[in-house]
Amino acid sequence: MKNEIHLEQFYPYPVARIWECLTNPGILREWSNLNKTVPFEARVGFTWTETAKPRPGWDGNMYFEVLEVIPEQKLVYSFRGGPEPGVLNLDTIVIWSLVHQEGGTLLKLDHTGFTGLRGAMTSFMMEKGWQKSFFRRLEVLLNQSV
Amino acid sequence: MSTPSDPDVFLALADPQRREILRQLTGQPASINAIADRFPISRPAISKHIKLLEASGFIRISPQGRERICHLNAGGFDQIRAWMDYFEAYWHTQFMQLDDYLKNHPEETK
Repeated sequence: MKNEIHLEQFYPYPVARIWECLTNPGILREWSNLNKTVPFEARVGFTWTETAKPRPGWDGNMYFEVLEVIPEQKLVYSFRGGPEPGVLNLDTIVIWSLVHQEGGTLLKLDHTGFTGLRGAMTSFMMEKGWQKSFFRRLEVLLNQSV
Repeated sequence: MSTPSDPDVFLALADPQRREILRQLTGQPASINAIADRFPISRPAISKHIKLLEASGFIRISPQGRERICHLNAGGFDQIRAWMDYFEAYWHTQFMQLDDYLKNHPEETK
């Protein structure tokens, strides 16, 4: 079962331009759903919150903290949320990577750590000795239920 | 089979004993009694775990004679998948919006 998201897209612009789009607060406001509340700062430790449409089990509050900044290469932040303020059972990591390619930039996004409750899902999946048979069986089950 | 009332699939998976119950059910369905016999905790505690697993869609329970049999159920796992799909769509939208922005502002390239 998939437990992380990976997306990538090529943009015909230099990495400096894409980096600016990811980190310049004024530009972020123009295109991104993120960074609407306070001016974004590309520095480790910067925190901000956003609000999205709630879903069952999630109040829609998104809590972010910048974890890593490598200019024009990598921007990492944590994204946490939960069913109500103070309860954070969604604890994930968002990684933006910029790769120079001929004629532009390959922008990659990894959203990982869909573990819930600090690793519950990970430990559920990683407990040794049985996960293979479990996921084989699960796949069968999921295919049947379609 | 009851309608899921507690959608918190992550909460359901947070407990090691509940994960162990699911693990055991991957082999084959088992009665609540058989499951309870394998755990050194009280019967009410096991019942509580099983109720939560059923409510969150990870198992379903069918009567068989006087026994109640627990089966692994896709619903809980589907919900985790739904979360993933939601965020994937979210980020996909971000990529599209960035694309639009760049197309409309090509002149600002440093």
